[in-house]
Amino acid sequence: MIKQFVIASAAALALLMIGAPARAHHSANAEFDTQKQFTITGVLTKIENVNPHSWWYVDVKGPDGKTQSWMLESLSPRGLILKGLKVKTELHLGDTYSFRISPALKDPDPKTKLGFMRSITVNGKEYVVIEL
Amino acid sequence: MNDIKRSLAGLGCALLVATATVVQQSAEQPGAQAKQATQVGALQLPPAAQRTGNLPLRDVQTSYSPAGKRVSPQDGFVMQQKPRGDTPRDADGHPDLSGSWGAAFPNPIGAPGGLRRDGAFEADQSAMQRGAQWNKPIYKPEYWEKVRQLDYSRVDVDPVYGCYKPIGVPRQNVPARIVLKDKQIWLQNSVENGLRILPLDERKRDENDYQFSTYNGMGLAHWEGDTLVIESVGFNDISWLGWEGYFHSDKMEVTERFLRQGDLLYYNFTVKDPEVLMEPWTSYTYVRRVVPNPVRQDEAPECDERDFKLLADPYLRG
Repeated sequence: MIKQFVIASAAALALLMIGAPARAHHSANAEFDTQKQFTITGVLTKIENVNPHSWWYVDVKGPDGKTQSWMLESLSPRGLILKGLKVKTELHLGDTYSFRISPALKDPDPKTKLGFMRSITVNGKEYVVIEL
Repeated sequence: MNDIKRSLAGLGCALLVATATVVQQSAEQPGAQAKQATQVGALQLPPAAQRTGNLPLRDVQTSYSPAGKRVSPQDGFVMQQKPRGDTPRDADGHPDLSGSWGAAFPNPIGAPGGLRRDGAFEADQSAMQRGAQWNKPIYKPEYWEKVRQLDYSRVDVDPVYGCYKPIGVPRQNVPARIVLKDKQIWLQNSVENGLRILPLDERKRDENDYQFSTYNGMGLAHWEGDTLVIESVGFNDISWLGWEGYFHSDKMEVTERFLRQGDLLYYNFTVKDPEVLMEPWTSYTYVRRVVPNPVRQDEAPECDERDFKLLADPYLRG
């Protein structure tokens, strides 16, 4: 009986460990170059205000006139509100905002750049989202 | 004892009127039958209950006021339910809303097979229900077509269609169970995401509440006399106010009112949404009776959407 339990536990643990890296609350350092940071300014096209992390989509116009799409990972919806960000009343899709970001080590696809949002500037006020 | 006295008085009254009807019928020959039908209809409600002003929670400002003595079927039904016993109160003197609240009232038109023929309503049920709505939210004219579209579209435009879809406040309606204790109120609707736990300590509204996008809203509870009032903000724009395509914006604010009298709980809500509604909309008053021997609430089995296409008409809601 005990032996069976041990085997079952070991099997369960092994399964958990296989699944673990994909499910774990990932470290920003694993995905993003947190030593680098710079500011991008662009048009906010979409917010996915979802758990565990929100996703922000920004179109940035480069000096050559071409538009580069950015996808920014940020805090949870509740986290953003607790930072004082008025997500429903002050942010509007189609408006231009500045984001201080750390770029990803690897972009998800050739067309989109991925970054981690460190701060956002709304109406001249910078809201620090997270200091990595 | 009082109850017996009351029912005796009621019986006496009914007898008197019945006698009067018989006398009247014998006096007037033609057309007497029609008149009698009206009188018998009127007999079903005590005279004092024939105006909606007598309905608990009906003193809320609303443009919904039926003309004259006409009473909507919903309000008429609520008025016929009489509270029994004393209203239990907590240490602060407020009505204790704790309890299991059920809607197992006797069917006003009898069991199936009586007045209501088996299957009589099913063929065009939503059409019947639309016709019976006396109290509708008044949308801005530019949204009338949208409401109609949502109402008459495929069933799956309804945000509760499918598995594990929260219904949200206020569509989830009266909670099935309430616990009032230690300056908190627990409100539980037996639906997905149906539990709300709110402090009852006269705290002020947190301005951050407006920034949330939730199904149940960020509730703030307080007492107004014997009525518990819950004001909620911070809704999403996904849920509906009712199955009829009543959508709302994420700026919606909802005020719910709970009033306990004896073993009855009266409930209504007011929706304020200036983005899409012409004016605040106050619902019907709903009533529930306390369930003296509540059953255990069991875990719901896993939901599988496989059969949904077979269960509902995939093309039309109407």
